[in-house]
Amino acid sequence: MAALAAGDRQAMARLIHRHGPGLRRFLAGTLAAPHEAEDLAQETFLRVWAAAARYDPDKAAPATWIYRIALRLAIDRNRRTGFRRFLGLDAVPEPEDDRPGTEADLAARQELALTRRALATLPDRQRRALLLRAVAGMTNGDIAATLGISAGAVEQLLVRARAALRAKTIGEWG
Amino acid sequence: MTRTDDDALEARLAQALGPDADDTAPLSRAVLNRLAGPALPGRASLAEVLAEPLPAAGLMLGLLLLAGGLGYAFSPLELDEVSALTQLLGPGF
Repeated sequence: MAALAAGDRQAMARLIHRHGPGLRRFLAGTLAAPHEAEDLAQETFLRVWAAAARYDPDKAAPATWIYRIALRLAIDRNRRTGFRRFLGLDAVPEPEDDRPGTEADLAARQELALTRRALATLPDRQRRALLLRAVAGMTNGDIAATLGISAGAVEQLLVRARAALRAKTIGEWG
Repeated sequence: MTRTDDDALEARLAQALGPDADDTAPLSRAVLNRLAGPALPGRASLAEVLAEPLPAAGLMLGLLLLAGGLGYAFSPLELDEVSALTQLLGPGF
């Protein structure tokens, strides 16, 4: 983060390499319009770059700080997406990918659609906690710091989220 | 459910959410390109309103309609021309 604050773009590339994949998956699972995940991941890293000088390692781990920024952006984007859908400007939630592909591609797309539908049924806090564990590999403490709740509450959210996800995907996943 | 079951579920979830998300080169390139471009912090929201003015315009129109509706609802009933003139000119006329 110190290198980032000093304007080191190689440090930014390393940060993206480390946190980019998890962040994209987290945003894809969090956003009401998952196809915007790539765009919002870019926006998150730009915010990180702009605010790197204000990062305090005593207050949060880098991953916690980055995901907290991403979460705020995602909540804000979801609010705007909801408003746009309310006005009928964004009536189609997600463009269907109808490109021809192999059976494996088709199966992957179907699994992605199933996963998103199952995730969408979870309450927001359960979904966020589960995604932070699954795609960012965070501990309960890190998830608690990111979501601003206690570690005990995180454990409860994870237990409920896993049970609900199993119930929704039973017989569908593998 | 065991810890292994939980780990398997989470790994499956992560894999399902982005089978091709591990390639960070496009993301890295896009971010670094945007960093190299002119920084325009604070203009994004204005640009968004200018590019897609319908939400803001719809909100304004909604507020105008609400104000008109409230004015109509609270205006006196059966206001004919005589009583309107009386109100305007005063009781002496």
